[in-house]
Amino acid sequence: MALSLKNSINIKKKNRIIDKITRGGLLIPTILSASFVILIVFFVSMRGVSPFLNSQYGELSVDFIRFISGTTWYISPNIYGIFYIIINTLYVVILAALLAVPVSIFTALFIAKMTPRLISGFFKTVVELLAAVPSIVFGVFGLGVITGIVKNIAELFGTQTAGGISTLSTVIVLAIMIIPTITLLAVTAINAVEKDLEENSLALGATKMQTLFKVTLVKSKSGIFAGIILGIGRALGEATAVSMVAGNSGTGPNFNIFNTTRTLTSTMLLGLKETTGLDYDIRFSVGIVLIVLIILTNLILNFAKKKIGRFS
Amino acid sequence: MKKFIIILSLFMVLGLTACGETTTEATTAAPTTEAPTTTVEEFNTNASIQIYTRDTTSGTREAFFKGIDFSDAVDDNQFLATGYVEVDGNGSMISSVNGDEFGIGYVSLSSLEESGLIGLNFEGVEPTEANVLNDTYGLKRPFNYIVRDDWTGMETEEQIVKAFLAYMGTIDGKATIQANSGILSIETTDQSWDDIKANYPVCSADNSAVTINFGGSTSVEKIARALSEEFSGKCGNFIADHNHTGSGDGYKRTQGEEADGANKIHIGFASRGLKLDSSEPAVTGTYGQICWDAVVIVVNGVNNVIANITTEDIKKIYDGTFTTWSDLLA
Repeated sequence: MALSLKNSINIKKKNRIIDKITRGGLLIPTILSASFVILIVFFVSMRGVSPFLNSQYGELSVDFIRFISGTTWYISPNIYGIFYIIINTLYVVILAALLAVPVSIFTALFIAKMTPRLISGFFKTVVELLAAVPSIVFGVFGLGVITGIVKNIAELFGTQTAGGISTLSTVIVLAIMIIPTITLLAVTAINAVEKDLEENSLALGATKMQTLFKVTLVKSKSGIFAGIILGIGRALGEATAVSMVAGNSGTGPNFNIFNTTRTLTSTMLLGLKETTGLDYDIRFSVGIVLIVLIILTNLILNFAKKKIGRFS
Repeated sequence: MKKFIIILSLFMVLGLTACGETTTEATTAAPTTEAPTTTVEEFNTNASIQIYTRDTTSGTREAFFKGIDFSDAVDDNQFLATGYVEVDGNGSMISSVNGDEFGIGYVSLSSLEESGLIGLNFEGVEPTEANVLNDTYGLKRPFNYIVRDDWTGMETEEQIVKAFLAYMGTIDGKATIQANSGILSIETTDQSWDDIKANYPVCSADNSAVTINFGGSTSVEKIARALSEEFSGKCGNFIADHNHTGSGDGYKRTQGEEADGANKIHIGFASRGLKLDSSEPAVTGTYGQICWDAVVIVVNGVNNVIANITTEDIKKIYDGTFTTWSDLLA
């Protein structure tokens, strides 16, 4: 009796030590990944601040007020302006979200609720594959296919586009890119709704459709919103595909969907490989603005998510 | 694996239909839901000219705007007509103009043939490599080299640089230049490096402690890097240090005011002719031409209204004086 008690104490002690070691082992990679974020922000900030410092570029230093409020990207030698680029970025992302959100939610409903398990599994795999397609592929697809379609749409309206390179093409490419992100999270959220709740609704005499839209969707909207936040994050940060179909207009802002546009990411990417000096460093300044913009957007959306989640 | 391929192909088919869905959704906003069937058979000259340009860091852009006498626009977009499209590479330029029947742009001559675009005659001269080499085609610039004149205290470096210059004239060197879009003619009489390397004993020694500084034009950087990387292996593994800052520094840092400063280089490059009479009086025998770089103005394959363009007209297109194709043809 006494022996077995001693034994069990020993085992408990041993387990505790293993717990401690495991915790230590997990801590190291956590610190590592957190420090990468800090390193990146630090590095981008260091370079991004330098264009505005007299000590770095002397007479060529950039006027920050003009930088943040300007409506022309570049006037030689040192006048940069990104106000219109910020506005255009937000405009494009909002339009893409408006296009992608309904499509994603309906896709998710269909996958989660409307199909037999075998077919829904297949569709889910397809959407997952779409989520894994690299952005350059979307860019090539956008330039090869979507711009052609947009060109024809513009012709219907009697407008001439630059071969379809336009805000609308950018919006469509971004929408296709974020649809899988939103859909997959929405599927998870919808599947997480308690069966009892839906059965209660059906028992009360509600039709299947009423249950789907008034119970299931309402109950899962917090999770769906999390998907939308992720999707918008991806859209804001997307560079390669966007810079291929946006047209990179030099002035703005532009709200005509058939005209060219420019986003913060495409501005950073364009010419990055060839340029040097001030023109190189200013791209890091744009990077800081983009990081701030993404953080702000996430904060606002998370706030909205909490508000919406409260009424479920 | 088989399963994966099946899923992948299904995904591709579905991907296409899914895209079709998205776009029909967009078209429902249009007054008519009919699919657009306008195929351009006759070129509509009332359409606007859509100009395409490379971004301000591009060497092709520099060559183009300098070549059409529009230097203001080399690194400043504000002089361009509004509504231009800025693309980030030769490839994007080609696919963009290919997708726009009313577009006009410029690509490097070496990529014209496979682009599917129409290259316009410039001032009546057809854009071919032969016409560049016989100096009749105007939209081009020379790539020149310039080396130090004063080699005091750098005898090994001098030997290596001399060997490097000789290497640029060999079949091996010329092939590398050509592969990096430089235009030159390779003659059957050209020697190969193996034929002449006996004349350069420095290359059979171990030069891994010697650093050769390259500099000057950024446009020539790609060719210079390819050459130095290749030649280092053939000449005792010397270290090639490239610091390209612009054509002006090519002369300045070899024979000009910075020739003995901290930034001094052993060999410099210029993507333009040297100003021998004024600010860059290089010593005879220390400079020469490597190859040509040529730009060609391109339009879409369906554009049959124009085959030739003048300096004046192309400038008026890019500065916005001409807005439609009929303006240009008038």
